[in-house]
Amino acid sequence: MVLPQGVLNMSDKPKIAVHKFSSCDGCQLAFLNLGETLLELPKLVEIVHFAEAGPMDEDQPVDVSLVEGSINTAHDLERIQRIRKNSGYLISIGACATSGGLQALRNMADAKAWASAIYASPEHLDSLDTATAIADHVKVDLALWGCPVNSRQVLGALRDLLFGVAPREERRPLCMECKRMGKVCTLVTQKAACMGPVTKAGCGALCPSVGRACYACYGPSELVNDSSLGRCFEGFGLLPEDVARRFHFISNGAPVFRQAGERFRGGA
Amino acid sequence: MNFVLNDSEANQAIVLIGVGSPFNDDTLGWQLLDALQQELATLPGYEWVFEKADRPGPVLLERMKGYKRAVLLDALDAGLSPGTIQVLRKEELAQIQRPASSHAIGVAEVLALGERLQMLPSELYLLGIQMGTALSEQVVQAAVAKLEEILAPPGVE
Amino acid sequence: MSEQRDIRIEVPVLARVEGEGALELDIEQGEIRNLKLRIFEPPRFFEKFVETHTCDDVIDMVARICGICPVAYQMSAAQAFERLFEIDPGQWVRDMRRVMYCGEWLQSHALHIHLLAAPDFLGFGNAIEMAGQYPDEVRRGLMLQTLGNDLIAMFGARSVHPVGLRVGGFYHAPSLDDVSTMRERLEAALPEAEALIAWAASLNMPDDHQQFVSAGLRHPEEYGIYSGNMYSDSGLDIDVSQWDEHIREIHIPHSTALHAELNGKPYLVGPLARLNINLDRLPPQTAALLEKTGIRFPSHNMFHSLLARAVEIHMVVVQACQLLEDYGVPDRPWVDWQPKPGVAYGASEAPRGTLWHRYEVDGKGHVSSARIVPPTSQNQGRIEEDIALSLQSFGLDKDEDALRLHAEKVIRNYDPCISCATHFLQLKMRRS
Repeated sequence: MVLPQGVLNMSDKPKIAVHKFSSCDGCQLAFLNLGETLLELPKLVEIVHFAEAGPMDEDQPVDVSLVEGSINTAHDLERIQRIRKNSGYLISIGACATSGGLQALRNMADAKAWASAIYASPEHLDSLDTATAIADHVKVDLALWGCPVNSRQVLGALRDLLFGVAPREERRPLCMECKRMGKVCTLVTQKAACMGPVTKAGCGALCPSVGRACYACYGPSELVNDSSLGRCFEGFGLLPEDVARRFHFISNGAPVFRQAGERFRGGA
Repeated sequence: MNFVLNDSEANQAIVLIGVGSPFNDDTLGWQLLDALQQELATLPGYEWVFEKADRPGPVLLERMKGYKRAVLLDALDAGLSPGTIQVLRKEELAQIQRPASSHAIGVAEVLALGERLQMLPSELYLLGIQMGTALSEQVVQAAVAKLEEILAPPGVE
Repeated sequence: MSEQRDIRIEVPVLARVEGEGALELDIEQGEIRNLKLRIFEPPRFFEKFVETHTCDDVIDMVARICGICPVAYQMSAAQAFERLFEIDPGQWVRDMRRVMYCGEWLQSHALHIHLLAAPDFLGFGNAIEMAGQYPDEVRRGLMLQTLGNDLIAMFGARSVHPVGLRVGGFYHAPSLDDVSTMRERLEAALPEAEALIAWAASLNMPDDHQQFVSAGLRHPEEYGIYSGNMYSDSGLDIDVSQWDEHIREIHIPHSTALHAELNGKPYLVGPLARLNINLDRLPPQTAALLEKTGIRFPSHNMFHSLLARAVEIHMVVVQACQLLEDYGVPDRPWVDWQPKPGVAYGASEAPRGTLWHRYEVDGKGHVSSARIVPPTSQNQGRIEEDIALSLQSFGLDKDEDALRLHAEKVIRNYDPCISCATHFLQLKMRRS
């Protein structure tokens, strides 16, 4: 894979920025949780904008932008266009940026009715009817899924770019990770409604490690066979609407999950 | 679909692929590739194509497809003196019990697969750099020397 | 005094307050005429999302309200359901949940002190700059933060949105080996936490005493972390199920978060408030260290919040050591349960203050409605009051930059987690 020409000029320190949209901040924390490595990072890159750690200059052109959060307001729309223009390489990080996050559930609902239900004076809210992924609005060069994203993956992607290598995207299902790590399969041994077969690997098989079923916070893998998996869940005793809820969870905004859930909700 | 090209159909350029992962010494293959891009520009008579791959797995076979000659650059952990360049031929690779690198699905396994499927270039070499030291001018020159040694001069087969 | 001035200050984003907020300030004739703190976090409608989901799902969903304190959301929710279903998960679960919570306070407070607040007090633009001159202190902070994260991950596999909690207990019990290693690390951290208190107390803090009500959870024996009655130093002492009878939520025009009032007035939750009402619940070693600083508590100087956080860091390290001392792996880290329909109430102390949940649950154990009151909402009114008083005592005739910086410092004391105000700082100031 060829990187865009002039993404990183190895003779200068690459400039990076971390931007937040509508999110819980958990993915930015992936950076701050790097511990000592956080102090090493400025030796390799120049962090020009990262509000949570201090540096503030949202409009400066940068080599790499990391974007967390979904697009929820008109202001967000305008901001992301500006950020894309200013970025050589744009990486969306986390469920909110890659698929709209948990809050994409509102895309299926009547947002105005919801606003009225929660906010006594909803006319004071400035928000769009939807929460959408960054890629729905601008070109995204690399999508790192996860809720939260995995710090090692983020660091790995940055280091790849520093060496002029195109970062790799994970597409394989969680099952591969479980098998490589020797984890006991929750779907087979517990008859648990594990989403692993349709979920991207990369988390380190966290849920099976503690003996629970995966809930798909890393988004869809390649080749999602939702009808087969859903039927399997029904065999475990789940009702169609329970199956639908498995798909309409953290990564509900991913089209393949959205449609899968709708199929089961519709009783198909 | 025919994967096996005969030599006259194959791309006559030599593809040099830096293989690695973004962690510590595992970037040696990429670093060497960068250095060689400078050095080999001055070496007459060859046509080079430079590529880098992060933990490529079977995709490596795609990267080499269509070339008659390929050289893989990768970090090696074979207990040699750090910085040593070790050249391995395709025939030797299949015999390695343990992967020559630290990736999930190793280069050795992929090449063994490629061989079985007859998907490999007719000339394939692995230039392994023993881990444990930063890339120095000395190591780069050693790599250039090895390359000149293993590649037949142009026009001679 | 001097002539009246027109001042307009715009601070597009308040650096180092999570999320974005805006402050509008009108000064006329040398007096503050208008002050509005706008917490603008696009509403994410969490209270609606959880409807129709199972209680275990809800535990995972509410974590997503805040990436810095997901454990707090999980704990408040789990307790609410367990109360309604009349489940007693047992002493092991209670103790281990406290330990996990200690991890969250540790990482959140360490993050705040070193990355957000200390750069202010020492005159640096940000932590990365500060690290150049105070490498040991920053390293210590990062070590404590990592320790907190690892403590959470010991129970929940990761520190952000951990996956270990379930109604009735945990999915997984750490092994004896894991706990033993963790205990060693916690014990090694004690002298560091001790040094941190001394360092925090030595920072140059403005003298700004105000009047306010301190509120939070109070427990018969423990420092208020995991559970207790909602308590205030103005006489409140209620079971969390009676919250609505005393605390009112209002949605005011300039903010998307709902504000809370106790008896019609703003109040303070969070580390300073907690320390004020839990002084007698500190472990003796921690109490002694606080005494040694010479700074008197209860304190009504918001700038002592940083010290309060440092004290709480020490306290939770002591707590976690104690609770893990006789660790044993249980037969099973959760108990079975049956759902019951009704209204579930739960509250616990997030690092930033009291976090209250209320759920209506149907007979199948699915949530039909939810209300969540985060600590930052509760502090909103207090923050506005504080800014007004602080700027006045600081001197409204100071130049714009100085005023802006002071306002930022004041707000940072509250560590408002704007993403947590579920339902930044652009300072628009007009002076005439």
